[in-house]
Amino acid sequence: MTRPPALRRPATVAALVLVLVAGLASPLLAGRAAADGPAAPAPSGAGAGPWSDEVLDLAARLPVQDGGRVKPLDTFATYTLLGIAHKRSAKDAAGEKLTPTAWLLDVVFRPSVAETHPCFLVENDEVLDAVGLAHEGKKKRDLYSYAALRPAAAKLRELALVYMKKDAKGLTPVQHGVVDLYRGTTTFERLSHLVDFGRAELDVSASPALKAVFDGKERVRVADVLARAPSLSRVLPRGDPHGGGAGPVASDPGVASLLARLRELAEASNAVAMIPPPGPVSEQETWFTPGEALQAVTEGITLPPEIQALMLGLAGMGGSVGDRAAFVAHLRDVAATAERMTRTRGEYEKIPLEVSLNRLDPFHRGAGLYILAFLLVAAGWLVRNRWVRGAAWTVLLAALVLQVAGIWMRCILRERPPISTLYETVLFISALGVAACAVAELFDRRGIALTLAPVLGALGLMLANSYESLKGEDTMPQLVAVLDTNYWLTLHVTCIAIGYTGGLVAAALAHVTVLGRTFGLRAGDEAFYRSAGKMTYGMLAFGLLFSVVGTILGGIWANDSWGRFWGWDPKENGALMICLAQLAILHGRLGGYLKTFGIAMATIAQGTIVAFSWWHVNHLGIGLHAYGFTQGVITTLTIFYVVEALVLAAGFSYLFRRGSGASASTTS
Amino acid sequence: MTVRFPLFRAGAFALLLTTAGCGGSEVTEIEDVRERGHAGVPAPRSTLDQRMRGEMPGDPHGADPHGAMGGAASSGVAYTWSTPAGWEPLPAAPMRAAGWKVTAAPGTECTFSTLPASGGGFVANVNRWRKQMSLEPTDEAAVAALPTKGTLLGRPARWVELTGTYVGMGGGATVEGAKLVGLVAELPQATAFLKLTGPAASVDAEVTRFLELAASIAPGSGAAAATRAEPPAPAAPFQWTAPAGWTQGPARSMRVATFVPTGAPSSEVAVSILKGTAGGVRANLDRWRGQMGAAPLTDAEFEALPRAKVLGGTAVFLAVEGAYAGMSGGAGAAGSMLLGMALPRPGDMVFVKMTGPAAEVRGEQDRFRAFCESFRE
Amino acid sequence: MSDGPLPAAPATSAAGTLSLVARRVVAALGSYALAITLLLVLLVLTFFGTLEQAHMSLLDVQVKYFESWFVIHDIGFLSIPLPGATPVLTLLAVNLVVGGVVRMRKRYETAGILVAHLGILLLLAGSYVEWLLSDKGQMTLMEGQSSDEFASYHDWEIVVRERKDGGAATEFVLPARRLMDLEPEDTARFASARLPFDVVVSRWHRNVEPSRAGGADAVDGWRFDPRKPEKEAERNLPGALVGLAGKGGGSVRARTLLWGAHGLPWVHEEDGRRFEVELRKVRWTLPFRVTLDRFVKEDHPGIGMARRFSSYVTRTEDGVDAASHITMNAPLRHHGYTLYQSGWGPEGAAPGTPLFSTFSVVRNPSDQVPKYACYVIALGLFVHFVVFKFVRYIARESRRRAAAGSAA
Repeated sequence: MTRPPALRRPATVAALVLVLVAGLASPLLAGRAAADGPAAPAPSGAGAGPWSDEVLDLAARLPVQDGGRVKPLDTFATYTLLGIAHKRSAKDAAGEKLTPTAWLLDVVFRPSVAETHPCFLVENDEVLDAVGLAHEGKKKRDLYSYAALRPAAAKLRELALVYMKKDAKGLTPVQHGVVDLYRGTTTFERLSHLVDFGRAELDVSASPALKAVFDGKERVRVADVLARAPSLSRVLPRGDPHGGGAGPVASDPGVASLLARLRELAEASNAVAMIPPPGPVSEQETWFTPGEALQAVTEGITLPPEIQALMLGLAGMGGSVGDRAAFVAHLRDVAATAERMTRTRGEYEKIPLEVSLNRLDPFHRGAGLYILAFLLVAAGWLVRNRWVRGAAWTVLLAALVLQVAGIWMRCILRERPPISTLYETVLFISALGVAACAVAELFDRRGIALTLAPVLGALGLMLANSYESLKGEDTMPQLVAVLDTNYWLTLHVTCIAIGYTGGLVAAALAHVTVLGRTFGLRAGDEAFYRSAGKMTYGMLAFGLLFSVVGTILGGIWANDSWGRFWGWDPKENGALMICLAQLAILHGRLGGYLKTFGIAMATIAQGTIVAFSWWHVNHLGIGLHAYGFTQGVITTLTIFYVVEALVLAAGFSYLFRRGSGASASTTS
Repeated sequence: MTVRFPLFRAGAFALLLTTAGCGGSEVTEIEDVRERGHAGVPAPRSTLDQRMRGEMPGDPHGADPHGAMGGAASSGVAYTWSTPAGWEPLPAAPMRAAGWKVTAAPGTECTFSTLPASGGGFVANVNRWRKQMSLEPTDEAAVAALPTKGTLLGRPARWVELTGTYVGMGGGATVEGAKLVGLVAELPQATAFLKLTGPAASVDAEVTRFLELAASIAPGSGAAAATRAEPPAPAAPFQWTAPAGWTQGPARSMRVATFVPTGAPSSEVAVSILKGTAGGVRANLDRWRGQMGAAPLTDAEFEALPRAKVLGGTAVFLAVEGAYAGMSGGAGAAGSMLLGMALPRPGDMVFVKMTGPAAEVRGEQDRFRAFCESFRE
Repeated sequence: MSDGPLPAAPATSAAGTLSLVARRVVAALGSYALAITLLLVLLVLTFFGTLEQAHMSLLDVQVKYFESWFVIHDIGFLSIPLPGATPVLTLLAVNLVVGGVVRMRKRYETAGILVAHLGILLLLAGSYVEWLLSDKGQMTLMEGQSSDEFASYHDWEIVVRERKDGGAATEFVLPARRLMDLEPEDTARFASARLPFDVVVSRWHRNVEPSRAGGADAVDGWRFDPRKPEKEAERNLPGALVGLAGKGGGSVRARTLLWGAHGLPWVHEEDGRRFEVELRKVRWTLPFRVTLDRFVKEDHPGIGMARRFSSYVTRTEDGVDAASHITMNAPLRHHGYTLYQSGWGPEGAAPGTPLFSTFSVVRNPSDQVPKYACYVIALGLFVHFVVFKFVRYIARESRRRAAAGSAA
């Protein structure tokens, strides 16, 4: 190898890489700047215009309790949006991009603006036909705003309530779509009413006693009610502060109507639990919604001062959206109080890390980097240049580092080993696959593994990302009781995932042999095919070691947890099938039945078995009525099976051609 | 073919099986004979009809023959009620949460039971009752048309009234001219049933008391918080001795217990626990004083309040007379009295509060104090 | 393992022919071809057995595919005959012993493989012992209840219980294996010297529903209508006609229908003796009593999902109490029996409903065998693939590179 005469090309490549890495880091830096530095003055605009960076940053970090854990509002916003729009970002009516937090702030604090954001994904416009909504000029699969859906609200609700009573398996995709759309609009509505209590004006003119409490004012706000709760409790009816429940009836009609109105507002503001209980976690783990706090006020209970401050802040935010300065001031109060309370409970530590993880967005950025790495590798075939190759390596490793960092952060956040959900298997297996290819490339520098690495990485992350957006649920859920064992999660689940990785990477490598031979690429380069064969065999053996051990460990776990080692259930069978297939191939090789090409063919078949037991066994018995996420899985798997069948068919055609040729030898 | 045992196992005993298993006329020797010291209570005699319909003969000894294996959801004491006058409770039995008989009218019995919501459906349960009354099953439309009467466990209850020949009774005996009245209420995750059966005349005579009983049934102290919508009564984390003459009232949301003293029928004693500091002892006492139209305590007054060691902490007692503001909205009911106890504990605050006409409450002061001091873990 | 065609030895004598045949049989039993065939058949069997679980209960699939000698799998109109897992696993064990242990060339390169093969044999042997000798069932207790029995998940037995004074009883348990192999048209007679009658069982159905009926077939106005097996086998409710007949082939003098759902036994009195006849899930007796003192269930905050649940129990043996705590992944092991926390209920219980705790109870002498087998297999595979294959590959590669480097 000689150094290229001119430095221009390598310099360009290096510059590109630098720009890229800087681009990656920038969101982190930007995030930190916004968090630590003094806030830029908020652009004032009466309720319109984008949210300032300070507002977005403070709001993103607000702790909420959802799905059984405390998380930043940003995460809550992201998965709420994913559940409705199946995307990680929204657009406003003008087409400006909104982050999930910005979208959520619009929904909660500016519902009339949020109504015009097209954020409801309708997969199939037959859903709209079903609810009697015109959709001219829209695509079959398109986004709609709440305002556009409103005319059909009554019909949507009517149909959805009928379908929701039926067995979900019996519903058609359109009926599922109706239910999903109804759920989405309900979520949107609940959120849009979250701070109604801050916006509402209460009429107290009918009761002199009340007017006296409010210094003669006839129209008051909930903030006034909260501020005067102690003196108000004197006029509350049959004031048994710790009874409440049934809600005694006031004889003063003014008081009665105030209470009724407050309870109505309380009822409407239960969309998210964002008020930490004042004591430690050991006393009460479940957080309150603003509505529950307001309900307590109507029962004459004196709110603890911190909760009072939070409620005043939230009410203030709700009431001051036209006045940005006031809004920001209230938000600062709320953020500071919520952080202090959550910190006291020891539930805040991981919030900043999770916000950083959301900002870093490693799995989407990583997918992009893997694609770039693949393009660079491809460029390396055309231009045999060590700088291009170096750039490919750099970008590939950057993507891998990003992906591993993401997995690592998730481990810290969840206090779990890397894999405890199906989603996490994808992250882990693709990262490990990329790493395995990179290591293989170090041993055998023919570019075979280097080409596969970014393909595996990109496919894996794209799979993970579409899983996330199809499911639209938090990917860090709480685990059911039986999985609450980090020991077995680490031991068994990781082993199995490594086994899957070995099997899949082996299958990927086998494609090089099968496709290369079949289409006569590098026909004379026997060393190349020997390498490919060796790597396939090595990966298969690596996979076998972990599959067998992992499968038995699964049995041991089952035996330790409920006293049964092996029950032939689908997931166990899937793992066993992988072991059997890999054992059969290795014995076939030892017995001389399979040579390099045969092993490659068998390994590709084995790859479909890995896919079957990784994904398909979870969706057995679900045929034509698959919908949404399941449908996505089944479709993807079917495509995969068909493609592999075609590859195998091509392989057989090569065997046939070779067999019918002069030489009948089965060696290749 | 039904092959029930692992043939692998069968293979190991192939010979044995062929000799032991062939021919219908062969007699198989029962080799597994177990002497059991704890075999539970003898099962009552029952007819095939009763067994097929899952009915228990009225024999009070009819304990669950499955013993530990049954795990009937309804057999725990999850509910409280007040037994109507002239009724007496029946011993515990499977398939019901509680049972009573009318002392003066033999054969007139009332049972209360709950089933998981998935356990049969409303129509099926009404038809089960119809069967017991020797009536043909009815259809969904007729059941849907049943009227609503009162509430059961806070839910509107459907009223079922059937006359016929009762066959669901002890030892298979039937009662001609019998009547069944029942209330069925759908709870969030269960269905509750209360029914009264017996000769038509005595059932008719007891309907009022039956409805009283229905109104008094409330979730018991075992309830735990489960849904946001309905905070149920918190479990009592300590025990007490209720003073003579105090009757425990129905459980209410957010309260641990409610009592009505016999000598002070217009008054009420409420025990409640709030998590956290609840604003502190003094703020709560001041709030109570506020409700009675009294000014907040001065430092000296607060220091002077009687205190006692309760549950390992220091309880502060308050007695204040005045116009109980809550009672009539703004004006307040003059001549009221409030007795209060606030007990801060690590993590929560226990409150006991008695309110009512001053004339009544004054006489209960000692009992109130004794009650509070009877709290124990 | 040698797999090539054997040299055609001249068959000079009958003994020679016999030994030739024996050698060929042994060679075939230990061959790679057999190993691969068996692995693939087991693979296909597992695949079909997995797909079939969409339509059939796990238990029925186990019986049909994995505990049988022969299977016919239907795909649409196509019926595929396959050997069941019993012969396949048996042959695989033989193949492993012959080809993978006895006849395998023992060199230090193959040491890892040998160890792994021995580990797999250990695993198969452990599973076989488990199949042969283990009892598995469950015990459900509410707080305060105690029991020394556990019940099978799906196997049923008929018991004749003679009541004695003071809560004691003698139980005559009809053998479940005999009962459950009965066909509806079969009649089986059971006898014991200590019983004043023979027990005659007929019309045994695995899953039935009773209905009101008249006619000759009916018993006291009832009869059983057979139902197809449930998707979850533990929900099957069997039924049978049971008669008590004079000893030594006498005629039936009392009879009734027994159903799995009956809450009460059939009570029969004869000569002042009181008998209860009951159809129940097969029960085993523990050598100790277990009392559930307290059951604790903790939910994730704000969502109705159990985070963990556990039972505080007292184990009583010979009048001596010992406290234990059983929770997920932490069972109680005693006297060869293991109690696992497996569930709780009732499902979706209303607030305030008392909960019960369910334990899986297992007696399995080979309980810990899979664990040791796993260590052995892992060691063998590690030695073979990592120590011999991979390290040697690296060494070879570096030599090759060095050679290539010096050549350049």
